[in-house]
Amino acid sequence: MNTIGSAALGSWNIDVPVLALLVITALIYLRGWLRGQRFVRDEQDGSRLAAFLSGLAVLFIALDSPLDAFDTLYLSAHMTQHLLLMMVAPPLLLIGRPMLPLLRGLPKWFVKEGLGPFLAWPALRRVLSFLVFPPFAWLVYVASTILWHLPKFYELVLQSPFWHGAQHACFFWTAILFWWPVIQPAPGRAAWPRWTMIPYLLFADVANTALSAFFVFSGDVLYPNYETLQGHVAAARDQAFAGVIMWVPGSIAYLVPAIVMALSIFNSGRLARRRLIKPARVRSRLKLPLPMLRRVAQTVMLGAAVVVMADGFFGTQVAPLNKAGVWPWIYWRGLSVLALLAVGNLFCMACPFTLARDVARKIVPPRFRWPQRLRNKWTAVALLALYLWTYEAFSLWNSPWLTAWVIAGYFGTALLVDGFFRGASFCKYVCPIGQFHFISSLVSPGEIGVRKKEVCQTCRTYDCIRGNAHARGCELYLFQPKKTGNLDCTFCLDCVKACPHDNVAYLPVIPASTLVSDPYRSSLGRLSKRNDLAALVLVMVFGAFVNAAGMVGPVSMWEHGWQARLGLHTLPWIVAGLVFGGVIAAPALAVMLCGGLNRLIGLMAETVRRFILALAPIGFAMWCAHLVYHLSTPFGVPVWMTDLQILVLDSGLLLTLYVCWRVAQQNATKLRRELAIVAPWAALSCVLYGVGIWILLQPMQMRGMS
Amino acid sequence: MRRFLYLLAIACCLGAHGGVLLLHERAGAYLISLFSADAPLRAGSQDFTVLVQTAADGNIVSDCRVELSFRRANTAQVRIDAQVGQSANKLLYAAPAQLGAGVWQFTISVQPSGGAFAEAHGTVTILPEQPPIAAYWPYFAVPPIAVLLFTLNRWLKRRSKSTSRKIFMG
Repeated sequence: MNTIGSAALGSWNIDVPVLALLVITALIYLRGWLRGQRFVRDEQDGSRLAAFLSGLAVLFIALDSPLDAFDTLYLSAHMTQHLLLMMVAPPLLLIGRPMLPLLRGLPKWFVKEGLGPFLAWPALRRVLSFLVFPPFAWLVYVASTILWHLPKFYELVLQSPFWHGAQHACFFWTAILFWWPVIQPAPGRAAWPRWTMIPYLLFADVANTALSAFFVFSGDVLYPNYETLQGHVAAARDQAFAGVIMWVPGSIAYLVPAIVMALSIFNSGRLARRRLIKPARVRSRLKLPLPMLRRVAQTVMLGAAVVVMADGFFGTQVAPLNKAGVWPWIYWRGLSVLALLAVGNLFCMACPFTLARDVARKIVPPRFRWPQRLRNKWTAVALLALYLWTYEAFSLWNSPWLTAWVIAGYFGTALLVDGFFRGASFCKYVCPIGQFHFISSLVSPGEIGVRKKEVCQTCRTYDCIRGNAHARGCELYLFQPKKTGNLDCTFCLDCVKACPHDNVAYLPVIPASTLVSDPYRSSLGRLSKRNDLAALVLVMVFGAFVNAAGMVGPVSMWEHGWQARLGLHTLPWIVAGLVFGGVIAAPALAVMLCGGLNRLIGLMAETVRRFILALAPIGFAMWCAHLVYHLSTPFGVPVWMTDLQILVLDSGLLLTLYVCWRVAQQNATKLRRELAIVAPWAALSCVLYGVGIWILLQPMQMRGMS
Repeated sequence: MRRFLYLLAIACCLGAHGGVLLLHERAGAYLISLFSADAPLRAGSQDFTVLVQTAADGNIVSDCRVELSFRRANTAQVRIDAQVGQSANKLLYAAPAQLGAGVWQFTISVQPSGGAFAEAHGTVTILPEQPPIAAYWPYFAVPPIAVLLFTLNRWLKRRSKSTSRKIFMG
């Protein structure tokens, strides 16, 4: 193979966001298609699925294949790319009749609550109908094809990546409008009779032929950019070839559907589609041996903890070269937040500390109950604040030896607490990592819950909390029928194993939905009555910003500036001022201000606590943005990391605003009062968002990199 | 509606990767072209790509050593080896460069295997870095747009409720 040929084949330009979007679209379509198959089976469904997926594949080829890499060098490559974007991908996507599968593939609540009002909005329907009205669609399609090929505009495209993107978007969009009336992918009556689509396509072909002929037969090179690069003769040849590509395959793309349509009109009686209604197929539920998987995960984590401790105590003390400097601070934290975001509290599920405890308990069973006075989160709040301070003040990330001691101390404390006290007292009342995961899992997309409430109503053994011969009951005293949300749930799956009715399982939930209501929760009571939980959320939320701020240049310079003034050994105290000011004084002040404004209009303290809980999503988003950055450092921080971090923070802000609005709605009947109630908390969320953005845009100290 | 949202999202990602031609010059027996990934060029990391062709017949030369050097008054020279593997287009030599704002003189040195050494010179202007608001505005626009859509959603819901109430009440 010659050089150009092999270079062309190797010139794939994989654009991660485009690829991700195409894959997500394909997955949603596939999910919707599979759901549709359960109810109605159409004999054409398989071909529609194939068409839609092929359309996405063609889009991928147009945007990420060598065609894209070569479009600035060869007009013919660029023309092929346009052909795929206009004449191949859009019809294939529309043949897939994507509306129903995509709607079915999305979560039902989102379709009903989010899209429903828009789908039923008459004004919007009128606008969309006008856009796909055949004369309009034909005109914008042909006009965009001709206008973008005018030398002035085309040269602009070659000089500016922004206009290049705009051109591609314009081609794709107008092509969707053009092919819409031809394929008629939406249910409902066509705007024009079927036969009118034949002249519609033929006239489009005439315009295409005229433009192609101009490329082929024009003596001049139309685009100087190509002439500069290739020389006059080669550029003219390339231009003629581009014209042929536009002419021949382009014409085929218009004429074939016109012919098929004509034939189908003539044979309409014979070709009438038959719909076969088949009974729904019952899907067998995939049952994973989850409790066994938990033991495996715990054993792996225990092994990892032992390796980290050994390397931390006896290995090199250069953090990036030591497992104690890399595994816990870079991989474990990043993967934990990703797991929280994608599934739920997987870290607690695989917790190595509880495995050691379980083994020890088989030898010496615990005798005492956790003291009544300590049955709250205050100990964990203090420990979480202490952890945030020690992390900054003693640079835990940079000291494998200290890291090993922290892990050893964790094992020791877990064994000590749970060696004396029954239940999972350490997890429930002491462990700061567990509390962080409990709060963060409020925004997770799943929880352990009951499948059918009716089954629990007939249950008289309550094995999920009492346990039985096969499995112990919930050690955190969460009674499944009264459990709401992920708070205090360690995902230990004891209840799943214990339930004799197979009625407890991992179930998908809407992220943060448990914050919207305030029911009585097993072992927790009403969250709105818990000061300790509100304090925990505040430390976790404000701690996210303080912890991330510690790694940016300006804050670090500020700390060292004060250290230079006050003395070398004062850094831990300066950091203490920053951390405790950030996680105690600042939230206290913010809550006093926002809560005070709420109290002025007659709200109760319970409602204020609910607003505090509503801040959890933005706090988690900040942790996520920060820790995912660290996770990426060993692989090279991608150029789109800041974009991703801002998007994560955007999502956190929107979720917090939504929960705040729902809480306000439950405390007011009129819009004006709702707004008055929510305003201080929305303002606080926006301030936190602004601080987060400022932190993300600062130069990072590349600490903890391996 | 659903499909339009999807298509909007896809269309937003239809970013092209065309390089912008900064220089096309004959140097000895070769034609040397320099492209940049962005236009206009801004301070920070920039991707440059070089195309080397024979001047006689325009054939692409893919087995040479290419070096880019950038000079600016009162600044140390920036030298980078451009490599084929770093470019999406395997016919081009690519090199990422960290350049500050200002006018930079650049030299492209080409040493083909078994061919004569050639050099091309030019000037490129690098604009100051964009303020974050300008650089990331699409992401900052997400929350206000989402809030706007949500408000519209609520308004439509309330309107549809009041309409159905009116119909029900006669």
